[in-house]
Amino acid sequence: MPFSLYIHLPYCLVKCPYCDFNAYAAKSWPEEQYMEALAAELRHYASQPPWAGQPIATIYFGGGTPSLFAPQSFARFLARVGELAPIAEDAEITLEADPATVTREKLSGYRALGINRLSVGVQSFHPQLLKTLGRIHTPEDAHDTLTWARAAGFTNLSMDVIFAVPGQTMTMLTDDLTLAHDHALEHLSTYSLTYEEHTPFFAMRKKGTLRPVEEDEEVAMYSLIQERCVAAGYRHYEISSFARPGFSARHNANYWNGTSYLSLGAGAHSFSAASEWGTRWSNERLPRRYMEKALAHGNATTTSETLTQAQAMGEFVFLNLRQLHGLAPAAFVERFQVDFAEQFPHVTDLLAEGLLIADSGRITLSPQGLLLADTLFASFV
Amino acid sequence: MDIRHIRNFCIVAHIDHGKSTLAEKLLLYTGGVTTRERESGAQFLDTMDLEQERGITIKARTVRLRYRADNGEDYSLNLIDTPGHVDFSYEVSRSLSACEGAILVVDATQGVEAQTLANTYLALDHHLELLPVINKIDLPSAEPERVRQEIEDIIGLDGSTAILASAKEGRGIHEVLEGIVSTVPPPGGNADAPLKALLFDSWFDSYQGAVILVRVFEGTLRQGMTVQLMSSDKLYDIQRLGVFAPRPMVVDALGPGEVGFVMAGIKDVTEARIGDTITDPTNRTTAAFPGFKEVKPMVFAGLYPVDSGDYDDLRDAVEKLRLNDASFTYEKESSLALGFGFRCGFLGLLHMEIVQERLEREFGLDLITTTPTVAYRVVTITGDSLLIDNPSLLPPEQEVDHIEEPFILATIHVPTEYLGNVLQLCQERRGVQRELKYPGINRALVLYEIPLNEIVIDFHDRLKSVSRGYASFDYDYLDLRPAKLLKLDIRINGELVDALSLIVHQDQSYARGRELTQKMHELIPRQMYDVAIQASLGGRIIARETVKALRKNVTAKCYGGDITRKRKLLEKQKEGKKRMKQVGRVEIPQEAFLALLRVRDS
Repeated sequence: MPFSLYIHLPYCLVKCPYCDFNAYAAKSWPEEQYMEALAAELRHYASQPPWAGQPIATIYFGGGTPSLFAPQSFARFLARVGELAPIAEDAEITLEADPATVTREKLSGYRALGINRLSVGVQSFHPQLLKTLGRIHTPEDAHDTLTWARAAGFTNLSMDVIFAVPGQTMTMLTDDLTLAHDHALEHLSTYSLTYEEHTPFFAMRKKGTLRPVEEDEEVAMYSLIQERCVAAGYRHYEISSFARPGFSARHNANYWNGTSYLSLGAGAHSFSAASEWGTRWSNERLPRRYMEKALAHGNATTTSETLTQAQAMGEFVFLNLRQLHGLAPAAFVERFQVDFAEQFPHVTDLLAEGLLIADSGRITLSPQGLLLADTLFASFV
Repeated sequence: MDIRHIRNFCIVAHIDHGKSTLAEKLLLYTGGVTTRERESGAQFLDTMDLEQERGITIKARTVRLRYRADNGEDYSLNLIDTPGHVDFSYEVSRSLSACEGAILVVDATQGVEAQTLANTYLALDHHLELLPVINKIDLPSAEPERVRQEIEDIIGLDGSTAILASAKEGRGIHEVLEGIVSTVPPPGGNADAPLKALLFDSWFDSYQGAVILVRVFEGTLRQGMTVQLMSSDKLYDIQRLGVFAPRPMVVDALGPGEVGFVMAGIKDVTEARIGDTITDPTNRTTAAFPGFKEVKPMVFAGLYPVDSGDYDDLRDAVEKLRLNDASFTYEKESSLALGFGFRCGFLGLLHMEIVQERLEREFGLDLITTTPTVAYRVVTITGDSLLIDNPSLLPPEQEVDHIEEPFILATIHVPTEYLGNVLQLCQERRGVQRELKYPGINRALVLYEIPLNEIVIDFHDRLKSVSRGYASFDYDYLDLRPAKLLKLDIRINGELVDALSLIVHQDQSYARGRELTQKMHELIPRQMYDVAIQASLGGRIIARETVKALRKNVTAKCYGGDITRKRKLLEKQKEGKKRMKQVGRVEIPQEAFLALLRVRDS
């Protein structure tokens, strides 16, 4: 079975105040040593099932800020990957890029070494919102990055948009969407700002120095995004993802569809579908300790869990329902040997209440169900 | 042991003035407990988790200390640790009856405080000799001389006799022990007189049956003898007799003045009633202890499992708990909203909370408690008399001739400074003043007749708050009196929820309806639909609130490959729902069923 490969690069120039990912602000970073650790980890897994001999379908460099690293580092690493595991001919290879860290040359370099998809962390084109979000790039940097990426030959471009930012109005959001569409991108990821525990934003909201956007306003913003993106020719295929036909993120889809994925790097999370209901594990979060362990043993795992059937069922439901094509009860039966409606009898109520829709052998979230997705998902775990 | 060498005492103190530390040091000093045991955290007094957490004593405990005094004589000092809350005031009074003296601990930095006074009154009511101890003199902010003066001025004891101590550092422990020997009078009694012993607490042990704590006043209890409990005249054979030292130690006999435990094959603690007199059926004492009363529950509430499937577990749990707690009663009932459960009787609100917490903790249950109520007498137009302890069972208005509510006589000690506040509180609670006395300088004693319904919920807390903790309170049941009472119903999305009904006084009905709907509005989380909360009197809506539908609950965020995290967040969300009861389509959290108790918090 082909699998996906995720590489986590945890360094950033500054840490954004809303971010709770495994990322660390750094003035300098041990680029070579970190890449060595990744390679050591890959060498360790490449000879083991279920990875050994299997082709790599997608590769994703996420962070942190992967675009801090030089193209040569990626070139050397991908060469090592190629020695250890076959990379599929048509592999999707994505890199997350931060507008504050790239140049025209750097982007050309990434493209030249085989990276064929760029996900740009624009977030907004509005200077005030960029400031609120603690981003260090300007709207011009963002425009330049997208233009240079095109010029460098990227034919699969994505950008991130954050909405429901304190101070954001509907007009500001409309502007962001218009500017994004002007770049004729293949893909858009739209994230509503969330206040995660242990972040400065969480503390600021609690103290009252940061006032979240009103709920009704947030709902209106989400609706606006859907309308504008669909009108611009995008397909809304997942809660926060929009793509032109043929450009859905294949790597992300693998997370949702139960494909095995091997994740390397500090705090990275892997999944193997090889055992009965699947196994998940994650690495040491601190970069220094991760490198020590990976370089010494090729393995930096700290936690792992073997899923139970009930957990696997819950995940199957919410990972399918978050995609707008929804869940196929037939696939559920095939996987678990239990009837979907029998396992989750409340589905009948959810259908009757119009939160779920059954159509042509699939169950999907209704527009109202989409807004209450987490409440619905929680009833299945 | 020579009766002149026995001392029975308790320790009373304001919270955190060092009662437990002193008790512990007395044990350590007299060799009852080794330093290692103490350091391992073994507690010999408050052994229940709940007691340690809440810092209160629920069950009485006794410990016998062996002490060789400076005069070279050996003494047997019995420390009786008493419960301490108005819900258990009867139990407290029985425990105090087993003592001749009390150590009054006062913090050298805080001085005389509210409970210092309340406990002093209580001890004086039981004619106990008081031994004041000024504790924590090691602290830099200690002012022992000021506190000595307070003991004279506020309490009226001779401050010069107060012992200076630091229980923490072990200072003054020897003086305290000498003080007990010299100040606390030895008990009286004749070993050959007819047996007369006081049962002052009991609990259930799975292996031994009921364990009884006794204080012998006259005669002798002997291993193997047949004894009689005077309230029921039932006979029991004593199987084991002993003392806690602090570990249980079997003895052959307990003579007059001695304190110990008895196991007599009593299967049910309800037969071992606190305050009962134990005697010898072949040589009966002529006078049982006065003041024995059957402890009756005063507050009633429904207990239901959140998950109806747990009903059998709840039944087993209440049966087991009842074995250990004779003052708790239960009978099966059912509710349209909540399914099958039990109508339970409690001594008061604290007792109710303790029972609920023990059921949840010790038996792993998730429970819903319905609004607590008192028991009303309803006389119907056909002349029938019904005792109603569940508001939803109140007959329709047109069938009711009148309703009677229970009244109590409240006895309140309060410094005159706070008298005005206390009188106002009693008036607000529909009280009728019966007596107002000034038994000491700056001290008032107030007697009020108050409907029980007005005090069960939060009277004690309010009293403490309006008197800054200085008022002490006790009550006795009086009688039933007619009153204009109505049933207040709560409807959720139009559906009457029987478990939320309550009986209110007509004059308070509108205010109560508004308060309740507002509080429930705060407590019921937003759901996928609007939730209408209405209060009604006889079908007439008097208050309404709406919990607006949740519009958005979706995390539009990519967790990358960390699916576990997303699943755990969802599981947490679901876990929160588990503690809610589904009524119709609405999920109601446990707290909302007790909204009434929260109304006055805010």
